[in-house]
Amino acid sequence: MPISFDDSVIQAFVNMLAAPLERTVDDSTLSEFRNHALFHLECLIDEYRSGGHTEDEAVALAIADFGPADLAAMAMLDEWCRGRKPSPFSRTSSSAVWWSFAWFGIASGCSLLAIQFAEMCPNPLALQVASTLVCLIPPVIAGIAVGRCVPTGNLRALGIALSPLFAHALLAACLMGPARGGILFLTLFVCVWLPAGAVSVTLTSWLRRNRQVRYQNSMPKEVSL
Amino acid sequence: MSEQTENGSDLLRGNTPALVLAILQDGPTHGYAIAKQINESAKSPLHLKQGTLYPVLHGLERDGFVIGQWEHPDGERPRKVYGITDKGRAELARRTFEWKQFATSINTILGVTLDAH
Repeated sequence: MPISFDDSVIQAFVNMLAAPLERTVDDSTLSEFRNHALFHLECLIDEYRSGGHTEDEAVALAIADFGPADLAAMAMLDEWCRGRKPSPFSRTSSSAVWWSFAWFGIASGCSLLAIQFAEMCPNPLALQVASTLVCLIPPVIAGIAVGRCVPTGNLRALGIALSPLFAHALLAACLMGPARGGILFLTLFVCVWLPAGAVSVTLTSWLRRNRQVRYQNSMPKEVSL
Repeated sequence: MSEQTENGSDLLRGNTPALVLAILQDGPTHGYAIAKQINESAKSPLHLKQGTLYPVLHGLERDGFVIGQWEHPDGERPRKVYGITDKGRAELARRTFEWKQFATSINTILGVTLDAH
């Protein structure tokens, strides 16, 4: 390879570039996109080095020329989705839905078990403690996990990722009878899970995007040789 | 980056496919050379964010306007060289015609007279 410097910064940038596309575009397209970016950045770095810049300057300038990682990634994502049927279950969305369904499913299963155990316990305090934990912890953890999976900055995918939460609530309403545990679970789902899950998914995705933007902003804005 | 340059980027974005096809008319080349040629040919405020070129090339290839071939030079990183197809030439002619019509309309409304030089 023509480049001899420590290319960890370039690799980190390319990883950031590829992250929103993972689990969305197919592996060959993703690999091709990475190779394009690496070759392009190497050419830019070579050009800046031959222009008299130090290695670190050349890397920073090359990344600035290439542009924000999320801009290129979102353009690639749009391009990928453009040739596909406009369906609410396109691959971008369905990937987010499956992750969301899995994480919120695990969380709700754990919550049900916690309530069952608490109900078997004669101490009413145990039920209250379990209810509080079920209220707060599982939807937040599941929300964070989902927020890390969905593509950043993709509001449509984010919205669809939350749909399993509503599906869970509906399913719970249909399956659970008037038993105390069922009513409690349903109340928790509607009053706490939905808002807590939605907030944590949105917040996590927003933080990821914000981190990418901060990284981009730390790069030089103007390029002059 | 200045506001003016950002506006230029917005204008450039929708027309990048036409610019790429026009450059490939001169002969097959890779993405880096295309980006360099766009940025060198187009004076400020047009400045292409080079990472957005590859989605454009991907779309052009999928639509059959360009054809890409990976090259693996010894000791160098692989690069994909793109060439324009007959369909791509027809698309370029169509886009050029549309652009002329669009530019004429806008110039008429804005009262812009192009310098003969």
